[in-house]
Amino acid sequence: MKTPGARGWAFAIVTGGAALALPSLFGVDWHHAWEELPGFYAWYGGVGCAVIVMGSKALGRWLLQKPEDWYD
Amino acid sequence: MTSPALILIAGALAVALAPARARRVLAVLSPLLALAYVASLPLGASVTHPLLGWTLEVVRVDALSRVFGLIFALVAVLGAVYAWGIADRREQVAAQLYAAGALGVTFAGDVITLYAFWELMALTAAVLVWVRDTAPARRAGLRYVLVHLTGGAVLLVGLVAHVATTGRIAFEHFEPSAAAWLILLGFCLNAAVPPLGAWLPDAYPKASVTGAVLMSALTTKSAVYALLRGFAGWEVLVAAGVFMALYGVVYAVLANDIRELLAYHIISQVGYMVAGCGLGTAMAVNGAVAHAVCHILYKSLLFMGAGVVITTTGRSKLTELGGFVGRQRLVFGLYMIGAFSISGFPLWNGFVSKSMVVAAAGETQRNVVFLLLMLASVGTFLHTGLKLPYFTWMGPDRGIRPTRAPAHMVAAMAMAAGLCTLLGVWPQGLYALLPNPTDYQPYTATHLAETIQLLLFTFFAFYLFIPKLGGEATVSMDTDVVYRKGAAPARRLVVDGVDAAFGWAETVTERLAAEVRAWLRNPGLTFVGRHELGGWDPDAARPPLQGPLSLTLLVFVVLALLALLAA
Repeated sequence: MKTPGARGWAFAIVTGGAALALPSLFGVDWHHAWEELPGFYAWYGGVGCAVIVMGSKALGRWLLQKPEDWYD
Repeated sequence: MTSPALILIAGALAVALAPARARRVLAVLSPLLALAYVASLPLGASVTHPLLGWTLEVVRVDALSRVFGLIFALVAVLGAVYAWGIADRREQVAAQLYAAGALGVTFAGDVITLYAFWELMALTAAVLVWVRDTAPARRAGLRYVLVHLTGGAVLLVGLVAHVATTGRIAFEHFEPSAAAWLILLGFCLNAAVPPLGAWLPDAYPKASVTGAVLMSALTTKSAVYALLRGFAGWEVLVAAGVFMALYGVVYAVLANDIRELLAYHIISQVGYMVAGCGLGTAMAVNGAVAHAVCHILYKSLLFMGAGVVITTTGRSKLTELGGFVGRQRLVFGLYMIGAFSISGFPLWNGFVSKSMVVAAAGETQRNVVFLLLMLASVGTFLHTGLKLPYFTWMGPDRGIRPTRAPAHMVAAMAMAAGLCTLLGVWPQGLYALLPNPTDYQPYTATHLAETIQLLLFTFFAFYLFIPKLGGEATVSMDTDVVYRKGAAPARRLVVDGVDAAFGWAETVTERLAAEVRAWLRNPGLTFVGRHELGGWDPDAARPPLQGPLSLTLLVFVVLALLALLAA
């Protein structure tokens, strides 16, 4: 995993904090119960990304990825 | 009034006969004329022609066909501008005919016209793969045409059965029946619905740089149009669409070739349209149509960007690219507009179209569908918006010195990027063209908040996973393994095996015939045995006649002597 430097952390805290504050700052009209969880779409994006990467890589290693000349 | 497809067919004829300099002008002028003509067609217009007792409706203009006709003609113009510097006559003719096929399908009011243009698309798209003139392209083109002609055969059987049972040739919504399921299969193959869609990531990365731009826009979206026309509200398409959306995302993680990655994301994005078609509500159908329009614009832009990279560096794999963003800033910037569009960033067109399908799923209380389509959005931004541009232009410096990007290619990218932005900031222009009236508002605080949170934290996760996301020098096994790996054993079984069996039968028959012929020549062999004669020898078989002949001669001589004595 790549770890961010000080500027990276600062960027993440400022922008992430602003994004998390958006629903409170502006009147939002959630339509689903799960959206009431604080920052639902934030963690859904972050965790979803991790799941996609790890899951796809695991599937690739286990079954899908073959040497480049495999079809030849 | 006539079919807009005929303008492009006439254009193809003109391009085929014109000298090189005139060809490039004609190649742009022809789709431009078709676009103007489609825009001028009034809603409700219809053109019919009698054929063998049927009345073909070669042009049917309604809201659905008009919006697809407009975007197909528009992308044909963009594709022709992008290909301005291409001098290959075969490619220019094939591109015109391919676009003609898409327009013909779109405006077909009957299934006979539909089928004719459907097959025209299959054949001409294969030419766009072949003209790249590499061994992998030749093989991929052959697979493409075989797969699509097989799908076309299934479609034809379904259409014939439909006409035979209903007595109608009108292309309209199908009710469930065996024939309708076959037609659905044929449409789904062209829409690249897994497991029928492996032809797409097989062929598109190997097609010509300019041909792939058109292919990314026309085949799957004309199939989406056909599904919307014939199968809106078919529940099975909801599950198929959601599966497609995630399937493309998973394979895009593993892709190393930049156009293969984009190809898998076509499957993912078409998944939204197929799901919208399956949901079948007015908003879902509007969403599917709007997303098809936006998708054609941003996906052609993304393929144009990938094409410029291939043209200027000669490389197409993430493992071989990187470190030259400083030498290609404009192309990178234009590509990123396509990336922001497909990812659904506010201000770009994906934001105003994709959300309609997702909202339609939420509106109908399909929470699982809603959440899975949101997850696919995460994957889209991850790959098309982050992974591909990072590892293509940024990432480790491999000492690449790209040549200057051709001006016509950059111009076409700028036009597509402009349209992506225009529809993003002025969605009403798009919504006015949709088949159902809508008051959908994409720019709400709720939609903006959820999108910003989703995309920003996807970016954070991408940053952490950068070491894991680089390309790997592998290929991914897809469902085409059935015919790509299965071809050799199938040939051994069906061709070589049968050939060997026939060879053996032929040898046995010939030996038997030789024995019979030998026996018929000399049946006496049956009694004396071949070993005594050493095989067939006319001289050896002759001695039995010498005795009777000698005896006859002796008797004749004795009788002659007796006659002389008596005389």
